[in-house]
Amino acid sequence: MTVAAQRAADREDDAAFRALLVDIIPSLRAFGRGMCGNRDTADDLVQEAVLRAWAARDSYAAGTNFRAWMFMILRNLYFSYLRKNSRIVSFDPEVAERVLVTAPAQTGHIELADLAQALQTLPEEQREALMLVGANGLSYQEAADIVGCAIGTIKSRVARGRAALTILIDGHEDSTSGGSQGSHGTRKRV
Amino acid sequence: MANDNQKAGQLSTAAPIADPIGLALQRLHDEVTKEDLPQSFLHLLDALDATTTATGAPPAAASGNFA
Repeated sequence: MTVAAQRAADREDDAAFRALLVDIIPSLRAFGRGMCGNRDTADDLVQEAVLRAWAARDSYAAGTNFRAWMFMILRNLYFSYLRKNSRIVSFDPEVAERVLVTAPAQTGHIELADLAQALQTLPEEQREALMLVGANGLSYQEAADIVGCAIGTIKSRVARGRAALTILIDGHEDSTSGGSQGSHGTRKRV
Repeated sequence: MANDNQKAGQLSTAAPIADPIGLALQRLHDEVTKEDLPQSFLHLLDALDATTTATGAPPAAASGNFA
C-alpha cells in the first residue's frame, strides 16, 4: 500500500471512530452527571474520556464493544477524580432524610431533581450500577465487564440501590418508625 | 412491554424497568441525552478533526485502564 493510500485508509478509520464517539457522548454525559451530580464536572470528565479514547483509537479493536470501552474509560477517570479530590462518599440514612424533604407521593411520579439528589446519597458502587443498568440500559454482563466484577455483584448492587431509593420514595421507614423527619410527619418522595 | 422487560432482566440481558424507580432512572438518562451538545464538545470534536488532517503523529498512550 502506498503512503497516500495508507493515509486515506487512516482517515476513513478516524472518521468512523469519530462517528462512534459522537454517538456515545450523550450517554456518557448522562452517566457522568448521574455519578457526579454536577453538570460541569461530568462534562469535563466526558471530554477527557473522549480525548483519551481518541488518543488510544489505534488500540481499539473495531467490532468489539465500543460502549463498554468508553464507559470503562469514563468510570476510571471519575474514580481518579474522586481520589484526587478526596471525596469520601458513604451512605448515611440521616443525611438522605435531610436531603429528601418533598411532598408526599400521590401519583407515583418521581421528580427527576429529587431522584438525582437521592442518587448522590447512595454508595458509589450502587449509584454506578443503577446508572449503568437502570439508566443507560446496559446488560448486567456489560456492566459487570465495565466495573470489573462478577455479574452477581452487579445484580446485587442494582437491587440494593433500587431498594434504597424505593424506601426513600415510599417512606416505608417512616411508616414503621412513625416518622423521624419533619414537623408534619409527611412521607418523603424522591 | 413490561413483561418483556421483566423477562429480559431475569435473563440478565437488561434491567427490569417497569417500576417507578426504573422509569425515573430512564427519564433521568433521557433528559440528558436529548440536550444539545454544549459548545465545548463541538470545539473538542473540531479539534479531533484537526489532528487527522494536520499530522500523522502517533497517538499518546491511553487505555481503559489508567485509573
